[in-house]
Amino acid sequence: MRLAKGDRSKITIAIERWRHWQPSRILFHHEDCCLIAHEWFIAMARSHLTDGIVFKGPHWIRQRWSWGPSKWPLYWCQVEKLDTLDCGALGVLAREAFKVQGATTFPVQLIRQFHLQDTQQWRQKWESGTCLSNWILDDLAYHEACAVIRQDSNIEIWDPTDSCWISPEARGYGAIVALCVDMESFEPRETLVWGSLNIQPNTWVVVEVLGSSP
Amino acid sequence: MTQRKYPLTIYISGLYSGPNPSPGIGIARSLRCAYPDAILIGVDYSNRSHGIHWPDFNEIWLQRPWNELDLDLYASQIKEVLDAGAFWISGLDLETIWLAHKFPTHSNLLGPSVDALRRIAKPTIPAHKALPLRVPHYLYLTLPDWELYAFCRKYGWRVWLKGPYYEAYRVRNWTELNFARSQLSNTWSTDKLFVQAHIVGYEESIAFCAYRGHLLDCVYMTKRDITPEGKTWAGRISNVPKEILDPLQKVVKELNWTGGAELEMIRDANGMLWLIEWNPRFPAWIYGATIAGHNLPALLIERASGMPARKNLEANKEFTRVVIEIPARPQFPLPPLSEPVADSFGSSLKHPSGMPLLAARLQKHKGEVLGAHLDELHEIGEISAPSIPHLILEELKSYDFTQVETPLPIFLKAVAETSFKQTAEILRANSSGVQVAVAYSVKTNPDARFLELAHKHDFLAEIISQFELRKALSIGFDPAQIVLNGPGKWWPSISNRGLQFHALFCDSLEELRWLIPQLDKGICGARFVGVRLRPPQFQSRFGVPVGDLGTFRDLVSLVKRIPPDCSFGVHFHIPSSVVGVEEWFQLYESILVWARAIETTSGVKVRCVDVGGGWFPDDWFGVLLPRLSGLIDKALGNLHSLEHLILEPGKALTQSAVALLTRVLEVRRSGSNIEEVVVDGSIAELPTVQDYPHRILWLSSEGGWEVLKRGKGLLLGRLCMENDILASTVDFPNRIQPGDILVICDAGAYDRSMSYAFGQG
Repeated sequence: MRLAKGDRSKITIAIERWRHWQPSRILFHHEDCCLIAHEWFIAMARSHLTDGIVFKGPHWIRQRWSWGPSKWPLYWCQVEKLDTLDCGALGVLAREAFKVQGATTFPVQLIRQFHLQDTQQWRQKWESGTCLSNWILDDLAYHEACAVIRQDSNIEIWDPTDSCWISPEARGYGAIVALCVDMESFEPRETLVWGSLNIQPNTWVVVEVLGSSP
Repeated sequence: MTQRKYPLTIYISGLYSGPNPSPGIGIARSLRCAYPDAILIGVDYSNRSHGIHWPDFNEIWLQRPWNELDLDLYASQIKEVLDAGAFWISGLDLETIWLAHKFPTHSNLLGPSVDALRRIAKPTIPAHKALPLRVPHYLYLTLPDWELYAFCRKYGWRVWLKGPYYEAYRVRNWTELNFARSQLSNTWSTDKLFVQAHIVGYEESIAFCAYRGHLLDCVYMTKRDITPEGKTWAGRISNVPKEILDPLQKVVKELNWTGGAELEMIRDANGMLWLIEWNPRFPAWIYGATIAGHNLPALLIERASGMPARKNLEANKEFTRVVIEIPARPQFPLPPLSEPVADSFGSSLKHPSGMPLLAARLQKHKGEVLGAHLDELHEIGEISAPSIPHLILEELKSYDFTQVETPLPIFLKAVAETSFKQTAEILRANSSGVQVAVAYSVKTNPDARFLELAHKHDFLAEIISQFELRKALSIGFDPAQIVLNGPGKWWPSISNRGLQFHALFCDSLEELRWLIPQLDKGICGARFVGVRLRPPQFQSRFGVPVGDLGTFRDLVSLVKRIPPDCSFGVHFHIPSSVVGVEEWFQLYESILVWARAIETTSGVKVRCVDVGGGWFPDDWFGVLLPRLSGLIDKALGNLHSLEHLILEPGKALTQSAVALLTRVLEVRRSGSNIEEVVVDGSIAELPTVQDYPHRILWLSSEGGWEVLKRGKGLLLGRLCMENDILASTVDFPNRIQPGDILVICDAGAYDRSMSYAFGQG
């Protein structure tokens, strides 16, 4: 894929806008309420591991929670009471579930490109729910997912919002145009490999630059 | 390459174009791209194969159905067109086999040889061994039902029943397996079926074309969308990875493959590829590969004919199907829908190209070379009888059956004693810090002889009502050896106040809320008090549904209120014979995590775990008890204060220890075949006879016992009830006659405790 000059500068602007965003975290109250909710979630995740397969996506999360606006900060004791969670909250839950399954996982921040009519819909939905819509920039959307280490430096990316593995080859509508795998708190690796792409951790990279030959 | 002097003519068979299509249309579309002037002749065997109307075909060669065709005449007609220079690409597996046999050396038949077909036959697919692919575990249905049932339990009833040609049924229990067996056997005129483990994963395929052992091209297809039947609807084409391509080239060479082929695979979550089928023809999605720039049918024709194909460029790596309407050919008017019968709609044919009819034809030619070829292709051996433990046969010998009234359940004392003793010995060998006990489930079989054995071996007694409590106490169990479970454990009323039980597991929050003050008042007591957990991933009516956070919170707060002189415990009970043995172990681990969550959040230590149940005898002795130390390690890994593990064997100790003695009332024959045998036993004495296989013995007039194998006969009960069928696939000995004794084994568990009086006035 070759990005048009206009698209490239738009993505650069989007990266600048979201560069300092940290992956979402769900917080604990200093009381039993959040401890109980968290332990309950861990046990739920183990229960859904019916066949012991480590690298199976935790589909059950999206069967329980719809995708929609979340108000932040979010606490563990609030999660179960909510019907909808945004991609950041779903990403936290999915990473917790992957850990229970025995997988090594990291947050991954993405920028995805849709159509303007889509992002207008989302903006309306978030703002009418008195939630921030600053994750939208024109037809680009900030998104969170889970990078799961498969073997050595090879990763796969689980999208907890769509409840599927993202294809590194996917281009066009909904495609990832930039991403950042957050491995800040772990031993830094030289590069990660996602499909045919090499990815430097903790760095925002444009997928076209990584994916195409010069 | 040289230009042929006559028009390029290609016969393409297999034109069905419904939700489970044949490849004929895709082959024709691909060839039309490459050879705009070629004469494409579509071949099929029914005017309900709607692909006959596809406009890329210059002509349609519609044949009579396979059951009407004179195969020799048809073969000579095909030979004529092949001799005239036309090519034939088959899109039908069975037709491919038949043609390979009929025309083993004809260069214009673009299909694999008999030898190559032999090496891709299901389920072994011998050719796969050179490829980095595995074949899912399977078992032939010639093996005894007993072993098939064990296979299904092992794979948690994630299994398929398959025939040697087409079709597969997902079966989830023994009843479904028997139904599917009958359906497949009737449709494909063969008993050569097998059961195969289901692989969870993404479906992927490789399609290739080859000519005389030379791989011309191949593509990898990842399914992007599938029909409810699992057939490709959309996909993505990519190159075949080198680690598969290199060995594939070698295998194609070894097989001297000619024609198209498809390897249907599943990629599991660990990335392992499992080969499900190796089809001897192009796949129905082959035009999707052409869209991606790989026109495999054209490459095949180009190589075989020497006529250069027009190259097509890659339009897109991804393809999808759409539903379109096309004009029907006037010379083939559409037949009317079959007349609706009873309360159903008229329906289309499931197999319009008539493959079941061809299968029936080929199977009938047993004495001919083709029949022998099919046998060899799917060689699976003779049907074998289940083995009967020596102890059972020995014990049966001790009875004089001439005078006994039937039907009669026989308690096999030595079998029972051995089961209890073996279990007790294994438990005694446990040297871990956790005390392990077995709780005999009284409901499984309340026969005093079993209870006495349980008592003798220091087992606990698990009771679900006050009646069962009284029974256990009457046998000599101390209240401190009693485990109370189930929703009706206090029914009809508390018999003795102040008893101190071993363990008491509440079935609901309501019961726990009620129980706590009773404990405080000393109305009853127990060393361990706890709850049965209902894990969220299984449907169950029992236990506390901890998948609801509010319920979990309430449980935590109630657990804190349990009197400190009672230790806390958790219980779960899911039959391993229903969910599968490995799934049961996963469930066990998940229950430990729930127990840990309760412990962490309540601050109350979990000191007892009670796990059940529903163990099939072979799994109890062959799987659970050998893994006991692992079970304890897992528990201690999660619950550091655990003191006590209670195992519930369920039916494991009793099932084999009772057999039902029956007498033959009538033998019904059709010619020399015995079709049905009626006995004086019935589903009233064997209420779970259709839930799992029961081994059957016949006492011959010479006094010897013969184990009955699987066959076509029905074993019918005495009741005037349609469902009183004790076994639906029995091979009766020809000498069987009224008055003979048949013993139906494995009737010692719920067959006994749930039996009822019926039709006895």
